[in-house]
Amino acid sequence: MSLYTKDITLSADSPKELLLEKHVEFITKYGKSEDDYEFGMTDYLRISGMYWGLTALELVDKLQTLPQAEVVLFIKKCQDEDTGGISACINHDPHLLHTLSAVQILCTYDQLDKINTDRVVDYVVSLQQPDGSFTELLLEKHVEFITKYGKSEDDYEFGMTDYLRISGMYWGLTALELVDKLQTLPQAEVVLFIKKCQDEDTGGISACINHDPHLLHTLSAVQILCTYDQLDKINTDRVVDYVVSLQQPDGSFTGDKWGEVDTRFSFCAVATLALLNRLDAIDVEKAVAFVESCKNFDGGFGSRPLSESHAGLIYCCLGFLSITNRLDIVNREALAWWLCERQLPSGGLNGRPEKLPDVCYSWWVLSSLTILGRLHWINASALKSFILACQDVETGGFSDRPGDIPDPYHTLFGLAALSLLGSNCIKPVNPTFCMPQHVIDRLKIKYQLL
Amino acid sequence: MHGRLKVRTTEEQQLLKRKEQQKKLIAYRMGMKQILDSRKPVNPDIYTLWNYRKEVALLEINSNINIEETEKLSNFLENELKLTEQCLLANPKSYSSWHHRYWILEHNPEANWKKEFDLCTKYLTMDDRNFHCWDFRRLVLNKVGITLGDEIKFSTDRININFSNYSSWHYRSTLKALTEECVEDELTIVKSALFTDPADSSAWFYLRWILSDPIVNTEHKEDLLDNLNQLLEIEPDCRWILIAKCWLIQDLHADKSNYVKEQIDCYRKLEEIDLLRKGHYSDKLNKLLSAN
Ligand SMILES: [Zn+2]
Repeated sequence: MSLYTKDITLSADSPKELLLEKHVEFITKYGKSEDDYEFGMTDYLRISGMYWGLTALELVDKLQTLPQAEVVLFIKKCQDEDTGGISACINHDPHLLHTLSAVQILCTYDQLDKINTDRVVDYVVSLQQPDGSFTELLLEKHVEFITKYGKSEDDYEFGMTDYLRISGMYWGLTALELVDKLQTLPQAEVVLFIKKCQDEDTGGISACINHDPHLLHTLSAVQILCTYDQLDKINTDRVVDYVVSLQQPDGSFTGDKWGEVDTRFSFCAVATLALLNRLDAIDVEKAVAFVESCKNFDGGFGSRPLSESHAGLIYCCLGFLSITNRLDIVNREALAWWLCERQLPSGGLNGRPEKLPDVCYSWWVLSSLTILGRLHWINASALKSFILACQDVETGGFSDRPGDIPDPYHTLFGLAALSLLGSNCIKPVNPTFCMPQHVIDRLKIKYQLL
Repeated sequence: MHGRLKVRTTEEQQLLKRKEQQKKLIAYRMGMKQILDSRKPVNPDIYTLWNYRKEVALLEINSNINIEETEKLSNFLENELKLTEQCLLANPKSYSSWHHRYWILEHNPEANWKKEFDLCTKYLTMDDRNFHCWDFRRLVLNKVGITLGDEIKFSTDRININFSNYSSWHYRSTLKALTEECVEDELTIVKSALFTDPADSSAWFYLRWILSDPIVNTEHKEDLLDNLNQLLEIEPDCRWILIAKCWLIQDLHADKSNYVKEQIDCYRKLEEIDLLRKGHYSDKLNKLLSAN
């Protein structure tokens, strides 16, 4: 547990008395210095900042040093017309944190009548979630984040990542469909792009035009086309040929013709074939035997025989066994225990013992627990708070941990995990395929859950 | 994108950054085009570039295979190893770089596997949780002819250096089947880890695995239960001890009502002290209550 008790030490020359005068000076100066760099840079927390400063001054009986009328007028301007909530600063979005700070300030000044308090009440009421909690899911921002990401061909991040373009499309597109905003993407363009990425020689699909075909992108492409109900736009027989060509004598699959073996590819192979209703094309029995040979002492699975268990690979292997209807080979109790031990005091889940939590593991661990019928072995509301804390309130999107840069990958897995936890604004996701449940139902795809 | 801390910027800084990035992007695109024509990795995750390199390597190998003078080929392959080394230093988790390295070694009839094995050992002392490196080590091991005894010693050393290294415990589990001769030793090593830091999870998973083996007899388990009760007096709120106690009672005394009551008490306590996994303990409790 030493991991979670990081702390600091106080140095000998730290101040030992309370420097009241200095503090008053500090706060009154801070509020006035509009051209100050620090001040200019922190408008995203202005109202809360006012509350801190103002309350500190009142506690030492120096409230009169601040211009009350100005403060009240500023708060009034920060009340959002649409929602009734109050933002950190004019033109910023309303947030519960700043709404409380504003109300606290107005109570201190006895000026509550200067804003529309009924609308504040409406705002707070609108934020309560079905489970009673009050954390906000910034749905609209996430939609904006994903649609912008897809459009920005000249964006640095986008331009540098063409080697994972098709998988990126799958992440973004599935995230949008889960929040019922798929129509914001140009379907015909996406389908045409995929068509162009199918390799003539092998039948496999590449990440991007002129790149080499690979099983990872082949699955992503098939997933996208299933969601769009456009499978007839590519040559699916050739896709089946490609997958079949990658099975090895021991039942394993390589990711492409260059020989890298990994249980991720076993999952990609059977998921692709199941979506095309052609699971019969490979030797399923041998494929199962290989995955079984990757089972470890802790009940988990690794990338190859004897490789250490890892939540991402456990998801791949459980997904594989769910599709091939062979969950009977799983050591359910031991594995579900290992998985529920991934939850950390922050509420987040890690992928291996003693590692940091990460939003994408919310998906790998949660979908695995769902397949095992043990979703209730972790604390859902703590996990939900962790995932929501990983939202970027400025741009939308989710990052791996609070405060990091968001990306479409973590945005999909954040939303998908919230869907498994139960949400009335996200569509149900299928734990085996990580696709909208209604798509799996429409295609009548079989999968096993315990 | 993992562990990239977001730094908030003003619009002006953003504009500047965008300009910089645009320049980089144009350069990247031009470079990319050149590379796609001429071949050389920049970002180790661009898998197609590694494929090109393998194609070129195959050409080199095939055109040099019948030539007496092997220096040219070995220089070429050595260069490829150097490149993967640079890429792995920048991103030790790059699947493509690890695979390329192994692929190159496999295609080199004069590959120095021993040197490779020593490199792995050295790297694991710097980051002993990198599962790519552990996997690579396992592949290389087969080529060098390292004995099982050597590897068991390696794993014992790693565990003695750091008890809370889950990768080492995992590795240990893959090395041998438990036998009458070694079961005492295994129990000793896992117990010394548990008693050193009972709050550390790694050794508890290993313990659960050992206990599932029929070679661990009643006497061993009774002993361990005594040990755990002692440990619990020092660390009454350590959930791992409570969980392990329940495994042992379930194995040894599932039919004795006083022990069942003790087990129920443990799970009730666990429900209180470990809210994150309350659902897990409730399932166990309900099963016990309905059976008794
Ligand atoms: Zn992640």
